[in-house]
Amino acid sequence: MISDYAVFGVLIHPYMLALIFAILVSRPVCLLINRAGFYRFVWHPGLFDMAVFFLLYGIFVWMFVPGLLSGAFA
Amino acid sequence: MRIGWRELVFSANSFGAAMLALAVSFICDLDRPYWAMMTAYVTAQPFSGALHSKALFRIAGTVIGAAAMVFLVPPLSSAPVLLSLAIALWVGVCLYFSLLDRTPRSYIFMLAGFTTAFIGFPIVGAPATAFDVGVSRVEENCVGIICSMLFHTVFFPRSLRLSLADRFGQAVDDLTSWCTDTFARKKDAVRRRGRLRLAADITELHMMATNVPFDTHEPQQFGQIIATVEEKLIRLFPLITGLSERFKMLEKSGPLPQRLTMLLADISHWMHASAPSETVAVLKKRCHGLQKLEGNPSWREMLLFNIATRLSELVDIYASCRKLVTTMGDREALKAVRPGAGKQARVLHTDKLDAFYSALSCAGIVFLGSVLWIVSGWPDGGTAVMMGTVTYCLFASQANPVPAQKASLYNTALASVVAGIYLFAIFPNIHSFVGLVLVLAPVLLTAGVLLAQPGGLKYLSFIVPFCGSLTLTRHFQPDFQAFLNWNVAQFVGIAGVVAATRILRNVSAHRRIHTVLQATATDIADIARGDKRISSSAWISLMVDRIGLLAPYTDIIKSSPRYASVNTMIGMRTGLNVIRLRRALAHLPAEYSQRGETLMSALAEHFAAQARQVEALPPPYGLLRDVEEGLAAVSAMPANRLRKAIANALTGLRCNLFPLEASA
Repeated sequence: MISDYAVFGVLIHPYMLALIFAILVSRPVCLLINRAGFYRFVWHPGLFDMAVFFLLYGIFVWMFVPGLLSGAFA
Repeated sequence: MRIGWRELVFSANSFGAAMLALAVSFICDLDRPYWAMMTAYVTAQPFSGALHSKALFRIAGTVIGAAAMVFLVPPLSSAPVLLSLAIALWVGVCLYFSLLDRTPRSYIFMLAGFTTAFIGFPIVGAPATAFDVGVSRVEENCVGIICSMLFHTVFFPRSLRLSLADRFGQAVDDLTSWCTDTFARKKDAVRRRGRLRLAADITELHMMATNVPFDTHEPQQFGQIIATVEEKLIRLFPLITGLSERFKMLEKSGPLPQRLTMLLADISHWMHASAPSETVAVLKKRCHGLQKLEGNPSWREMLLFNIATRLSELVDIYASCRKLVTTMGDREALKAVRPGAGKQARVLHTDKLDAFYSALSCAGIVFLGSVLWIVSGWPDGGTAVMMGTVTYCLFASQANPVPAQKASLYNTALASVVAGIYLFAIFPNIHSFVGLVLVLAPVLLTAGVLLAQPGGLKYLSFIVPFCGSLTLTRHFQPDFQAFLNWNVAQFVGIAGVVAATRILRNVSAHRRIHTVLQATATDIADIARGDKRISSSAWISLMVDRIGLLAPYTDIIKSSPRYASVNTMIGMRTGLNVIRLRRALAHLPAEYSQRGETLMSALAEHFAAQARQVEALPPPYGLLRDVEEGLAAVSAMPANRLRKAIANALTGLRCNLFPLEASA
């Protein structure tokens, strides 16, 4: 059973929290990557951005849902 | 209507995003999957940069609005009137801030306001669900936004940079035709059209360009180049209109000198041809050849001098604008550019009083609607108030919101009928998700194509109520009575707001004209007095914005005897001359600066009087004498750059304030 997070007394599902975090963080990350000049090597910038977003989403879900992976690899 | 490849891609992407959002919501068992579907359509934008900014602002606004609702509804739920008052005030405050911020960022505030109304009013009877409804609203919004981003950025995304380069190119074309019309001394109406077209171009480009920082993969220089071009285009306004006035004056005292007409023809020719850069130097040299200010120049010579200075400036700005616009389309050239200027943010007109009145009338309408609903005991009244609030907020920034609100009323009514057909004739025969997608496709794909048209945003008022009326949830059971009640309430709410806005609008139009004109006169008086320091580019930017704000009221201004004599272009140029004189005064020797101060205080007095009265006052005769004495004193000064600057500014003042005497 995955437990909800209480944010100011409002219960929020961890997948949801991860989604909001990922949306907020992916933009600045992509802008940093641009500043480093990395987009020269990217074939499809939009696809790349989405990939960054989903990677971040994965990371946040992994952070917010403890024990998510331990079950899968047990 | 234009149905091309772009519109079809946009429509298909939006539809795909909406269906994916619906599917994800069904799979995750969210409460209101149709909210996700709606959001996918609302956030859909043709450019990925614009989509990202709208998505972020939407999430922020929704979270703030949902949080406000969670704080407001449970404690006040036992006192419906108080609760309505609280929501009305909250919506008003949000609308106020949204009207003050005239960038896409204002969407945050607007959404924070109407999210509260959107989810607050329908659940007043069941305050215990406030938490759940708020959270699920945020959830469904996020799902819709992610799906929208996925489709619009991955499948055939359109580059904001190339589209902007295209639009800027068009703006330069508009500029070219305005210039050549002015040089050919076409009729006032023709030139006026050119001016308004360019002003509209600039405002539209400014709004488009605010999305540039959200585009992750464009070179850094791009944003700066846009700001530079914008600034340059804006600087042309006083230049060109000033030129056309000077031509008229010069023609009154005899035909234009042949050297000048030849130069004008050559400049027009150069603008139309794709010319190499050395011509710029040649043209500027010819302009300088016209500039002679020796001994004791006559008025005609002064005018000619003024024209020549302006022409050389015009050639300069035009050439660099064109060069920058070509650079925009070329990614590699863009990276090599080092734009120096143009970092300065544009100054826009803000009218706190007007925003306050608008917000106050919004809060008043919402509260009045709620009271009517509570007193009448109509169970679906909450829906009516909610739709009314959303409709009012969405169009509050427009000069005349009534046509847009009416369109929204008709679209909503149409959506109700179409949704009714779907709910009671088609859906009972559908038993799978694929079937659902297939039957929804014809209507939503058509609406998507309409949405992609220029100015097609009004079709959102079809799509959103359509998705809302379908109320697609996991446990689907159409209830005709509930459907009818909901749709009647929707219609009544919007119709009520249209009626209320109609009553308030006429008053607000006059107030808006009044405040804009008053602010202009007050600003000029303050600059003359030395109380307000503003750079000339900031001033022009402010005035171009004001001209754009007044443009929708042209018919009212023309028909009203109070405003008919007011000319904002003259206000812009007068202010500019006053700014230049102010700056020059600081560098003048004491014997001249004393005279300058007298002139400035006379100017300040005149414009302060005009600000009190708003309608254009004839300037006092003493002012003309002061300006003429100034001009006479200038001819006695040693010839240097300062003298040129002051001569130009004084000539400009005389032309703008005393057009009749000046042409004599």
